[in-house]
Amino acid sequence: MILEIDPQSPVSPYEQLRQQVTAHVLGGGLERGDRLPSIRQLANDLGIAGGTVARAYRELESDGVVTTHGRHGTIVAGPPVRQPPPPAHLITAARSYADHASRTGASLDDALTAVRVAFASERTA
Amino acid sequence: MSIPLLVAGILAVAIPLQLRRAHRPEQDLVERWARGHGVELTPENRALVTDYLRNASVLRTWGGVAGAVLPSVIAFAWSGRVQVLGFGTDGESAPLAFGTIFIGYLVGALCAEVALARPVAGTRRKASLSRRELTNYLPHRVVVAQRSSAVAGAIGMIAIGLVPYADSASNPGLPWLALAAAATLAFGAGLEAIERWVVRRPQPVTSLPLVAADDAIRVNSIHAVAGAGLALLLLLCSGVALGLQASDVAALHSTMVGPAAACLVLSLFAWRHVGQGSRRVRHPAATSDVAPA
Repeated sequence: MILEIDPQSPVSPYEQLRQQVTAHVLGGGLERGDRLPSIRQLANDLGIAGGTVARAYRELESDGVVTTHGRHGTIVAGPPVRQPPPPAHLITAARSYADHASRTGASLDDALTAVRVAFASERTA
Repeated sequence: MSIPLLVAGILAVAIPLQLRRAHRPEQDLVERWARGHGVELTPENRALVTDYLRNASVLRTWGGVAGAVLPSVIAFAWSGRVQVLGFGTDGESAPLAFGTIFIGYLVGALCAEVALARPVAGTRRKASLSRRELTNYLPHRVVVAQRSSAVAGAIGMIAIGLVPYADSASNPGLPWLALAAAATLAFGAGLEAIERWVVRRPQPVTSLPLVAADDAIRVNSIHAVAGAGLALLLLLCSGVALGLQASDVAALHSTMVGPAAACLVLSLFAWRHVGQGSRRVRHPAATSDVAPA
Protein backbone atom coordinates (compact mmCIF):
# COMPACT_ATOMS: atom_id res chain seq x y z
CA MET A 1 0.00 0.00 0.00
CA ILE A 2 1.21 3.42 -0.94
CA LEU A 3 0.61 6.75 0.77
CA GLU A 4 0.81 9.83 -1.39
CA ILE A 5 1.29 13.43 -0.28
CA ASP A 6 0.70 16.36 -2.59
CA PRO A 7 2.53 19.37 -1.12
CA GLN A 8 0.56 21.71 -3.41
CA SER A 9 -2.82 20.45 -2.28
CA PRO A 10 -4.94 22.83 -0.19
CA VAL A 11 -5.46 19.90 2.18
CA SER A 12 -2.76 19.85 4.85
CA PRO A 13 -0.25 16.96 4.68
CA TYR A 14 -1.30 15.51 8.05
CA GLU A 15 -4.93 15.51 6.92
CA GLN A 16 -3.96 13.80 3.65
CA LEU A 17 -2.20 11.12 5.68
CA ARG A 18 -5.13 10.73 8.05
CA GLN A 19 -7.63 10.41 5.19
CA GLN A 20 -5.57 7.89 3.28
CA VAL A 21 -4.86 5.64 6.25
CA THR A 22 -8.55 5.76 7.18
CA ALA A 23 -9.46 4.95 3.57
CA HIS A 24 -7.10 1.94 3.61
CA VAL A 25 -8.71 0.71 6.84
CA LEU A 26 -12.25 1.20 5.52
CA GLY A 27 -11.28 -0.42 2.21
CA GLY A 28 -9.84 -3.49 3.95
CA GLY A 29 -6.25 -2.90 2.80
CA LEU A 30 -5.23 -2.42 6.42
CA GLU A 31 -6.66 -4.82 8.98
CA ARG A 32 -6.89 -4.81 12.75
CA GLY A 33 -3.45 -5.61 14.20
CA ASP A 34 -1.46 -4.39 11.18
CA ARG A 35 1.55 -2.30 12.20
CA LEU A 36 2.05 1.07 10.61
CA PRO A 37 5.55 2.41 9.81
CA SER A 38 7.29 4.35 12.54
CA ILE A 39 6.89 8.13 12.52
CA ARG A 40 10.54 8.54 11.58
CA GLN A 41 10.36 6.05 8.70
CA LEU A 42 7.24 7.58 7.17
CA ALA A 43 8.54 11.15 7.62
CA ASN A 44 11.88 10.23 6.02
CA ASP A 45 10.27 8.41 3.11
CA LEU A 46 7.77 11.18 2.41
CA GLY A 47 10.29 13.96 3.01
CA ILE A 48 8.04 15.69 5.54
CA ALA A 49 8.51 16.68 9.18
CA GLY A 50 8.15 14.00 11.84
CA GLY A 51 5.67 16.27 13.63
CA THR A 52 3.33 16.08 10.63
CA VAL A 53 3.24 12.28 10.74
CA ALA A 54 2.95 12.35 14.53
CA ARG A 55 -0.06 14.65 14.29
CA ALA A 56 -1.70 12.40 11.68
CA TYR A 57 -1.13 9.39 13.98
CA ARG A 58 -2.57 11.33 16.94
CA GLU A 59 -5.68 12.21 14.94
CA LEU A 60 -6.02 8.60 13.83
CA GLU A 61 -5.68 7.50 17.44
CA SER A 62 -8.39 9.90 18.57
CA ASP A 63 -10.58 8.57 15.73
CA GLY A 64 -10.04 5.08 17.10
CA VAL A 65 -8.40 3.93 13.85
CA VAL A 66 -5.00 3.15 15.45
CA THR A 67 -3.56 2.58 18.89
CA THR A 68 -0.04 3.35 20.03
CA HIS A 69 1.84 0.67 21.93
CA GLY A 70 5.14 2.29 22.90
CA ARG A 71 8.06 0.49 21.31
CA HIS A 72 5.71 -1.86 19.45
CA GLY A 73 4.64 1.11 17.36
CA THR A 74 1.33 2.18 15.93
CA ILE A 75 -1.16 -0.60 15.30
CA VAL A 76 -4.42 -0.55 13.35
CA ALA A 77 -7.37 -0.85 15.73
CA GLY A 78 -10.22 -0.86 13.22
CA PRO A 79 -12.53 1.49 11.35
CA PRO A 80 -13.07 4.95 12.85
CA VAL A 81 -15.43 4.80 15.81
CA ARG A 82 -16.54 8.43 15.64
CA GLN A 83 -17.61 8.18 12.04
CA PRO A 84 -21.18 6.93 11.62
CA PRO A 85 -21.84 5.10 8.36
CA PRO A 86 -22.97 7.53 5.66
CA PRO A 87 -26.56 7.27 4.41
CA ALA A 88 -27.13 4.86 1.52
CA HIS A 89 -28.11 7.58 -0.96
CA LEU A 90 -24.79 9.37 -0.31
CA ILE A 91 -22.81 6.16 -0.85
CA THR A 92 -24.60 5.61 -4.18
CA ALA A 93 -23.92 9.20 -5.26
CA ALA A 94 -20.28 8.96 -4.10
CA ARG A 95 -19.74 5.75 -6.06
CA SER A 96 -21.08 7.40 -9.18
CA TYR A 97 -18.82 10.44 -8.61
CA ALA A 98 -15.76 8.28 -7.83
CA ASP A 99 -16.39 6.29 -10.98
CA HIS A 100 -16.58 9.47 -13.05
CA ALA A 101 -13.47 10.94 -11.38
CA SER A 102 -11.35 7.83 -11.93
CA ARG A 103 -12.49 7.56 -15.58
CA THR A 104 -11.34 11.13 -16.20
CA GLY A 105 -7.97 10.38 -14.54
CA ALA A 106 -8.50 12.57 -11.47
CA SER A 107 -6.58 11.68 -8.31
CA LEU A 108 -8.25 11.04 -4.96
CA ASP A 109 -7.01 14.40 -3.68
CA ASP A 110 -8.35 16.26 -6.70
CA ALA A 111 -11.70 14.54 -6.36
CA LEU A 112 -11.93 15.34 -2.64
CA THR A 113 -10.90 18.95 -3.24
CA ALA A 114 -13.64 19.28 -5.88
CA VAL A 115 -16.19 18.01 -3.35
CA ARG A 116 -14.97 20.54 -0.76
CA VAL A 117 -15.13 23.39 -3.29
CA ALA A 118 -18.65 22.31 -4.31
CA PHE A 119 -19.71 22.17 -0.66
CA ALA A 120 -18.23 25.58 0.07
CA SER A 121 -19.94 27.23 -2.94
CA GLU A 122 -23.21 25.50 -2.00
CA ARG A 123 -23.04 27.05 1.49
CA THR A 124 -22.24 30.54 0.23
CA ALA A 125 -24.97 30.42 -2.44
CA MET B 1 61.74 -18.20 4.59
CA SER B 2 60.49 -16.07 7.49
CA ILE B 3 56.76 -15.85 8.17
CA PRO B 4 56.50 -12.04 7.64
CA LEU B 5 58.18 -12.43 4.25
CA LEU B 6 55.84 -15.29 3.33
CA VAL B 7 52.75 -13.26 4.37
CA ALA B 8 54.08 -10.23 2.47
CA GLY B 9 54.54 -12.43 -0.61
CA ILE B 10 50.96 -13.70 -0.35
CA LEU B 11 49.66 -10.14 0.02
CA ALA B 12 51.76 -8.96 -2.93
CA VAL B 13 49.98 -11.48 -5.13
CA ALA B 14 46.49 -11.34 -3.59
CA ILE B 15 46.07 -7.54 -3.38
CA PRO B 16 46.61 -6.77 -7.10
CA LEU B 17 44.35 -9.70 -8.02
CA GLN B 18 41.55 -8.48 -5.73
CA LEU B 19 41.90 -4.88 -6.93
CA ARG B 20 41.85 -5.97 -10.57
CA ARG B 21 38.71 -8.01 -9.88
CA ALA B 22 37.06 -5.06 -8.12
CA HIS B 23 37.85 -2.56 -10.86
CA ARG B 24 36.99 -4.89 -13.72
CA PRO B 25 33.85 -6.75 -12.65
CA GLU B 26 32.66 -9.70 -14.71
CA GLN B 27 30.30 -8.87 -17.55
CA ASP B 28 27.29 -10.69 -16.16
CA LEU B 29 27.79 -9.55 -12.53
CA VAL B 30 24.73 -7.27 -12.52
CA GLU B 31 22.47 -9.99 -13.95
CA ARG B 32 23.76 -12.64 -11.52
CA TRP B 33 23.41 -10.29 -8.57
CA ALA B 34 19.86 -9.33 -9.59
CA ARG B 35 18.87 -13.00 -9.98
CA GLY B 36 20.40 -13.85 -6.61
CA HIS B 37 18.61 -10.99 -4.88
CA GLY B 38 15.27 -11.58 -6.60
CA VAL B 39 15.30 -8.29 -8.49
CA GLU B 40 13.87 -7.97 -11.97
CA LEU B 41 16.17 -5.67 -13.90
CA THR B 42 14.40 -2.96 -15.88
CA PRO B 43 15.73 0.08 -17.78
CA GLU B 44 14.67 2.10 -14.71
CA ASN B 45 16.68 0.28 -12.05
CA ARG B 46 19.63 -1.14 -14.00
CA ALA B 47 21.75 2.03 -13.66
CA LEU B 48 21.14 2.16 -9.89
CA VAL B 49 22.19 -1.49 -9.42
CA THR B 50 25.20 -1.15 -11.74
CA ASP B 51 26.48 1.98 -9.98
CA TYR B 52 26.01 0.42 -6.55
CA LEU B 53 27.79 -2.83 -7.44
CA ARG B 54 30.73 -1.00 -9.02
CA ASN B 55 31.13 1.36 -6.05
CA ALA B 56 30.56 -1.36 -3.44
CA SER B 57 33.09 -3.69 -5.02
CA VAL B 58 35.78 -1.01 -5.34
CA LEU B 59 35.26 0.59 -1.91
CA ARG B 60 34.99 -2.69 0.02
CA THR B 61 38.11 -4.08 -1.67
CA TRP B 62 40.12 -0.92 -1.07
CA GLY B 63 38.86 -0.92 2.51
CA GLY B 64 40.08 -4.50 2.98
CA VAL B 65 43.43 -3.65 1.37
CA ALA B 66 43.82 -0.63 3.66
CA GLY B 67 43.02 -2.88 6.63
CA ALA B 68 45.78 -5.26 5.55
CA VAL B 69 48.44 -2.68 4.76
CA LEU B 70 47.87 0.36 6.99
CA PRO B 71 48.68 -1.33 10.33
CA SER B 72 52.11 -2.25 8.94
CA VAL B 73 52.72 1.29 7.75
CA ILE B 74 51.53 2.79 11.05
CA ALA B 75 53.63 0.35 13.14
CA PHE B 76 56.72 1.16 11.09
CA ALA B 77 56.14 4.92 11.26
CA TRP B 78 55.33 4.80 14.99
CA SER B 79 58.01 2.50 16.32
CA GLY B 80 60.13 1.39 13.39
CA ARG B 81 58.86 -2.16 13.88
CA VAL B 82 58.47 -4.22 10.70
CA GLN B 83 55.40 -6.45 10.79
CA VAL B 84 53.02 -7.85 8.19
CA LEU B 85 49.47 -8.73 9.30
CA GLY B 86 50.70 -9.12 12.86
CA PHE B 87 53.82 -11.17 12.07
CA GLY B 88 56.89 -9.14 13.03
CA THR B 89 60.46 -9.58 11.85
CA ASP B 90 61.42 -9.45 15.55
CA GLY B 91 59.78 -12.87 16.04
CA GLU B 92 56.74 -11.51 17.86
CA SER B 93 53.43 -12.39 16.28
CA ALA B 94 49.71 -11.70 16.66
CA PRO B 95 48.13 -14.29 14.35
CA LEU B 96 44.62 -12.82 14.69
CA ALA B 97 45.71 -9.35 13.59
CA PHE B 98 44.26 -10.03 10.15
CA GLY B 99 40.97 -8.82 11.71
CA THR B 100 41.99 -5.34 10.54
CA ILE B 101 40.97 -6.53 7.06
CA PHE B 102 37.42 -6.94 8.40
CA ILE B 103 37.50 -3.40 9.83
CA GLY B 104 38.65 -1.98 6.48
CA TYR B 105 36.04 -3.97 4.59
CA LEU B 106 33.33 -2.77 7.00
CA VAL B 107 34.33 0.86 6.49
CA GLY B 108 34.37 0.32 2.71
CA ALA B 109 30.88 -1.22 2.82
CA LEU B 110 29.64 1.73 4.83
CA CYS B 111 31.20 4.22 2.41
CA ALA B 112 29.52 2.42 -0.53
CA GLU B 113 26.13 2.73 1.19
CA VAL B 114 26.66 6.41 2.03
CA ALA B 115 27.89 7.21 -1.49
CA LEU B 116 24.85 5.63 -3.16
CA ALA B 117 22.63 8.25 -4.80
CA ARG B 118 19.14 6.94 -4.15
CA PRO B 119 16.21 8.08 -6.31
CA VAL B 120 14.60 11.28 -5.06
CA ALA B 121 10.87 11.88 -4.68
CA GLY B 122 8.98 13.82 -7.33
CA THR B 123 6.47 16.61 -6.68
CA ARG B 124 3.92 14.16 -5.30
CA ARG B 125 5.61 12.22 -2.54
CA LYS B 126 4.85 8.56 -2.10
CA ALA B 127 5.83 6.09 0.59
CA SER B 128 5.02 2.48 1.33
CA LEU B 129 2.89 1.64 4.35
CA SER B 130 5.09 -1.44 4.94
CA ARG B 131 7.02 -1.14 8.16
CA ARG B 132 10.75 -1.71 7.60
CA GLU B 133 12.48 -3.64 10.39
CA LEU B 134 16.08 -4.78 10.68
CA THR B 135 14.94 -8.42 10.74
CA ASN B 136 13.34 -7.94 7.31
CA TYR B 137 16.85 -7.44 5.97
CA LEU B 138 19.02 -9.49 8.32
CA PRO B 139 18.06 -12.82 9.95
CA HIS B 140 17.29 -12.50 13.66
CA ARG B 141 19.89 -15.18 14.46
CA VAL B 142 22.63 -12.94 13.03
CA VAL B 143 21.48 -10.03 15.23
CA VAL B 144 21.52 -12.38 18.24
CA ALA B 145 24.97 -13.67 17.24
CA GLN B 146 26.30 -10.10 17.07
CA ARG B 147 24.96 -9.24 20.52
CA SER B 148 26.10 -12.55 22.05
CA SER B 149 29.63 -12.35 20.67
CA ALA B 150 30.02 -8.74 21.85
CA VAL B 151 28.87 -9.69 25.37
CA ALA B 152 30.99 -12.88 25.40
CA GLY B 153 34.04 -10.93 24.25
CA ALA B 154 33.51 -8.28 26.94
CA ILE B 155 33.03 -10.87 29.70
CA GLY B 156 36.12 -12.74 28.51
CA MET B 157 38.20 -9.57 28.71
CA ILE B 158 37.11 -8.93 32.28
CA ALA B 159 37.92 -12.57 33.06
CA ILE B 160 41.44 -12.11 31.66
CA GLY B 161 41.87 -9.24 34.10
CA LEU B 162 40.80 -11.42 37.01
CA VAL B 163 42.69 -14.67 36.42
CA PRO B 164 46.34 -15.00 37.48
CA TYR B 165 49.19 -15.11 34.96
CA ALA B 166 52.69 -16.43 35.51
CA ASP B 167 54.06 -13.53 33.51
CA SER B 168 52.12 -10.55 34.88
CA ALA B 169 53.76 -8.22 32.32
CA SER B 170 51.71 -9.88 29.56
CA ASN B 171 48.45 -8.85 31.28
CA PRO B 172 47.54 -5.20 30.67
CA GLY B 173 45.58 -5.03 33.94
CA LEU B 174 41.91 -4.90 34.85
CA PRO B 175 41.29 -1.16 34.20
CA TRP B 176 42.55 -1.39 30.63
CA LEU B 177 40.70 -4.65 30.04
CA ALA B 178 37.49 -3.12 31.44
CA LEU B 179 37.94 -0.26 29.00
CA ALA B 180 38.49 -2.74 26.16
CA ALA B 181 35.38 -4.66 27.27
CA ALA B 182 33.34 -1.44 27.17
CA ALA B 183 34.75 -0.68 23.72
CA THR B 184 33.73 -4.16 22.55
CA LEU B 185 30.18 -3.66 23.80
CA ALA B 186 30.11 -0.22 22.16
CA PHE B 187 31.31 -1.76 18.90
CA GLY B 188 28.53 -4.39 19.03
CA ALA B 189 25.92 -1.71 19.75
CA GLY B 190 27.38 0.55 17.06
CA LEU B 191 27.29 -2.27 14.52
CA GLU B 192 23.58 -2.81 15.11
CA ALA B 193 22.98 0.96 15.07
CA ILE B 194 24.63 1.18 11.64
CA GLU B 195 22.46 -1.66 10.34
CA ARG B 196 19.32 0.03 11.67
CA TRP B 197 20.43 3.31 10.10
CA VAL B 198 20.69 1.63 6.69
CA VAL B 199 17.16 0.24 7.16
CA ARG B 200 15.85 3.69 8.14
CA ARG B 201 17.38 5.57 5.21
CA PRO B 202 14.64 7.29 3.18
CA GLN B 203 12.89 5.11 0.61
CA PRO B 204 10.50 7.29 -1.39
CA VAL B 205 8.34 5.24 -3.74
CA THR B 206 9.33 6.48 -7.15
CA SER B 207 8.54 3.27 -9.06
CA LEU B 208 8.21 -0.34 -8.02
CA PRO B 209 11.33 -1.59 -9.90
CA LEU B 210 13.41 1.10 -8.16
CA VAL B 211 11.98 0.18 -4.75
CA ALA B 212 12.75 -3.50 -5.38
CA ALA B 213 16.33 -2.65 -6.39
CA ASP B 214 16.71 -0.33 -3.40
CA ASP B 215 15.52 -3.05 -1.02
CA ALA B 216 18.00 -5.54 -2.51
CA ILE B 217 20.80 -2.98 -2.15
CA ARG B 218 19.89 -2.46 1.51
CA VAL B 219 19.99 -6.21 2.10
CA ASN B 220 23.40 -6.39 0.46
CA SER B 221 24.85 -3.44 2.40
CA ILE B 222 23.51 -4.66 5.74
CA HIS B 223 24.86 -8.18 5.18
CA ALA B 224 28.27 -6.81 4.20
CA VAL B 225 28.41 -4.72 7.39
CA ALA B 226 27.05 -7.56 9.56
CA GLY B 227 29.39 -10.15 8.02
CA ALA B 228 32.52 -8.07 8.62
CA GLY B 229 31.38 -6.90 12.07
CA LEU B 230 30.39 -10.36 13.29
CA ALA B 231 33.61 -11.86 11.90
CA LEU B 232 35.59 -9.26 13.84
CA LEU B 233 33.68 -9.88 17.08
CA LEU B 234 34.13 -13.65 16.78
CA LEU B 235 37.82 -13.19 16.03
CA LEU B 236 38.04 -11.08 19.17
CA CYS B 237 36.32 -13.88 21.13
CA SER B 238 38.85 -16.32 19.72
CA GLY B 239 41.69 -14.06 20.88
CA VAL B 240 40.10 -13.70 24.32
CA ALA B 241 39.76 -17.49 24.63
CA LEU B 242 43.44 -17.85 23.71
CA GLY B 243 44.26 -15.20 26.30
CA LEU B 244 42.42 -17.17 28.99
CA GLN B 245 44.09 -20.38 27.81
CA ALA B 246 47.49 -18.78 28.43
CA SER B 247 46.60 -17.96 32.07
CA ASP B 248 47.90 -19.71 35.15
CA VAL B 249 44.61 -21.52 35.72
CA ALA B 250 45.23 -25.15 34.79
CA ALA B 251 41.57 -25.85 34.02
CA LEU B 252 41.61 -23.21 31.27
CA HIS B 253 44.64 -24.64 29.48
CA SER B 254 42.67 -27.42 27.82
CA THR B 255 39.12 -26.08 27.94
CA MET B 256 39.79 -22.82 26.09
CA VAL B 257 41.40 -24.35 23.01
CA GLY B 258 38.06 -25.61 21.66
CA PRO B 259 36.18 -22.28 22.01
CA ALA B 260 39.13 -20.41 20.50
CA ALA B 261 39.19 -22.69 17.46
CA ALA B 262 35.38 -22.65 17.17
CA CYS B 263 35.28 -18.83 17.26
CA LEU B 264 37.98 -18.64 14.60
CA VAL B 265 36.10 -21.02 12.31
CA LEU B 266 32.80 -19.22 12.99
CA SER B 267 34.49 -15.90 12.26
CA LEU B 268 35.59 -17.05 8.82
CA PHE B 269 32.15 -18.63 8.28
CA ALA B 270 30.39 -15.36 9.22
CA TRP B 271 32.67 -13.41 6.89
CA ARG B 272 31.93 -15.75 4.00
CA HIS B 273 28.34 -16.78 4.69
CA VAL B 274 26.77 -13.64 6.23
CA GLY B 275 28.81 -10.97 4.50
CA GLN B 276 28.75 -12.25 0.97
CA GLY B 277 26.41 -14.13 -1.31
CA SER B 278 22.79 -13.61 -2.30
CA ARG B 279 20.12 -12.50 0.15
CA ARG B 280 16.53 -11.38 -0.24
CA VAL B 281 14.46 -8.90 1.68
CA ARG B 282 11.77 -10.54 3.79
CA HIS B 283 8.92 -8.06 3.86
CA PRO B 284 5.92 -7.60 1.62
CA ALA B 285 6.92 -5.61 -1.42
CA ALA B 286 5.19 -2.29 -1.95
CA THR B 287 2.22 -2.63 -4.22
CA SER B 288 0.93 -0.04 -6.61
CA ASP B 289 -2.53 0.42 -5.11
CA VAL B 290 -3.35 3.90 -3.94
CA ALA B 291 -5.75 4.71 -1.16
CA PRO B 292 -9.17 3.26 -1.93
CA ALA B 293 -11.85 5.85 -2.61
